[in-house]
Amino acid sequence: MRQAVSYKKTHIPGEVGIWLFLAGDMLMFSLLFYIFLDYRAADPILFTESQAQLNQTLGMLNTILMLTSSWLVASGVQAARRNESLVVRRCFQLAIGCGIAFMAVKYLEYGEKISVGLNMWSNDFFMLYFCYTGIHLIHVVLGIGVLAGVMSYAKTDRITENGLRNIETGATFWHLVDLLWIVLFGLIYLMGQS
Amino acid sequence: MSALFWNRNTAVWLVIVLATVASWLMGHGVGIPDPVIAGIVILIISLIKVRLVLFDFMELRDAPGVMRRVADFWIVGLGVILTTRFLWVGV
Repeated sequence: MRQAVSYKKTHIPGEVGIWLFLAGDMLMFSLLFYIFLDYRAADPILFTESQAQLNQTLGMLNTILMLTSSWLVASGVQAARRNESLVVRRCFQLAIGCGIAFMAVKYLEYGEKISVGLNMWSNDFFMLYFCYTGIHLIHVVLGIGVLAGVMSYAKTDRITENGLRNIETGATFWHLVDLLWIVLFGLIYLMGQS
Repeated sequence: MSALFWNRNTAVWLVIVLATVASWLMGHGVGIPDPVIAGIVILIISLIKVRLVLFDFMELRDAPGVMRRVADFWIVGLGVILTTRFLWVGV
């Protein structure tokens, strides 16, 4: 089986630029995480009570969807290195499916909150909850587009070196979306509850 | 095809899903009665999950050393800063 790419001793998956973007986005979100806890410190009781009104089970379901989508994307990248284009497309399609399911759960969750009168103007906690999960949701939508786009490099039985790099770049962006959610879930849904 | 399932990535997925369930349980008072301690443990578990995704799914394990060190530095730094902010309440 021909190997699509030959590796040096170390390997950076995808374009270097995606990793720079990733670092910048993580840095921005790190600041947002700090700001959340800063607001919380000013009124921890309000935050704990508001947090208790979130649906942690839906949050956990969304986390598992994100983790599974990342597993699928990682599996897809490995399949791409073996030139298994059909497997790549299936993995990425299923990952997109997880992303769409994530959005559906979010829609349910937001709907639950809004139907009882909780929205981003209710208090500081809900402002941060809607803003942060909203910004993340935009990342999910973009990520689905990216995955759909880089799938086109796995059309034939021969994935080019350039095509593989593009697939890796797209995969790296998707994993970023997962990373952000992992921290958001712990921070916004769980920390401080008992 | 079996290489797709029975590999390190699948083992990592299983660990982070279990860690997620454990965090959810801790956020409901299971195992650790004190919400402050539970909160810190949840944060640490979240960062361990982040590291697993970075080093395994994102293949940082095979990336240049400088990237791995930056990632670890950021993970630890974020953990310290967020834990401190979480504990320093009412200031």
